[in-house]
Amino acid sequence: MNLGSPYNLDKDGNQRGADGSWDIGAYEYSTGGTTNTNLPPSVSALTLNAADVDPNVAGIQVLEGTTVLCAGSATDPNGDRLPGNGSTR
Amino acid sequence: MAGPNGSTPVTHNSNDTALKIMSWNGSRGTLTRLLVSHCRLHGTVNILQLFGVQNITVEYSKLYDNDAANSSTYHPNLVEYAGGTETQCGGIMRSGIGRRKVFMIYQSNGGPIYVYGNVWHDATSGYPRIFQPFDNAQGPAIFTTIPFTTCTRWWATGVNGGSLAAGSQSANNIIGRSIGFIGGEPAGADYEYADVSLGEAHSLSGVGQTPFANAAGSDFHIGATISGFCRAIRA
Repeated sequence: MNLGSPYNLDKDGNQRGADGSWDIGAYEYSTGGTTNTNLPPSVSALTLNAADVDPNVAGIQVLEGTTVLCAGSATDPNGDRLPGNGSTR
Repeated sequence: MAGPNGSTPVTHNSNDTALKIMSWNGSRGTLTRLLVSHCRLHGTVNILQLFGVQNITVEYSKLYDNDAANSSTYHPNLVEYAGGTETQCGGIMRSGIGRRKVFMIYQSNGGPIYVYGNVWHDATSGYPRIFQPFDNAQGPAIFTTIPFTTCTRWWATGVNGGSLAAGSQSANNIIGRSIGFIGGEPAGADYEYADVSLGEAHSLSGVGQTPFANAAGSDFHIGATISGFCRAIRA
């Protein structure tokens, strides 16, 4: 049986037969034979495209009416899909 | 894995079902193209009943904790499948972890049905069977990559005249704590690991060692120490 995507992934999300053959059982073998650790995503520091107009006050102060773009990114070491990367105004 | 009755398996006096999919308008109709995904179905005598369903996929779900107070009247089934009149019913059962009693009865035509990538374990008593074609020749049924433990029977054929249709396959399965079969396996069964004698050309049987990383802890990944004979039996 040679089923394609998405059925060629095991329950951990590992590719079946990536090394040329499917391993026996429900899970593709991984070194150590243990459950893959679901590592947390890595999130970058957020950046703003506006300057702080009042450094004497904690946080970033902008003038009223200013459009501020907040940007950042996130990646997942397990390759899991993240709900969304984007920016917030 | 506890259900509504805590760690004690649920027992009912009625033949109830967690999810029953059937079209009925005086007679059984046909339903097509259904998806059951990321569901937990548990705590009834029957967990999933599929009657007259074509092209259904059940994936990433857990079906568990089913039993009956009077199993001589109500046979608890993890999945009961009846194809009705249709002849094309492709189902991919990817049900996660199942628990207790008879795992599947498949009856009244339909097929093929694909069952793969499941973890089925910890059925109890002397009656559990993984796959039982109830009557006539059913399928073809194609099973692959299913490890499970404490299962009394694997294939159970011939009980009520049921048999496996031509083209049925069984490959890359890990069969643990089983006492074997009722009837026979599919003609093409091969490339499996089992603690019972399989009589298959390329399978490993009677090894006497659990292939799982930690079966007691419900970790059914392949264990590192046995990977040499358990990995990639079939290319």
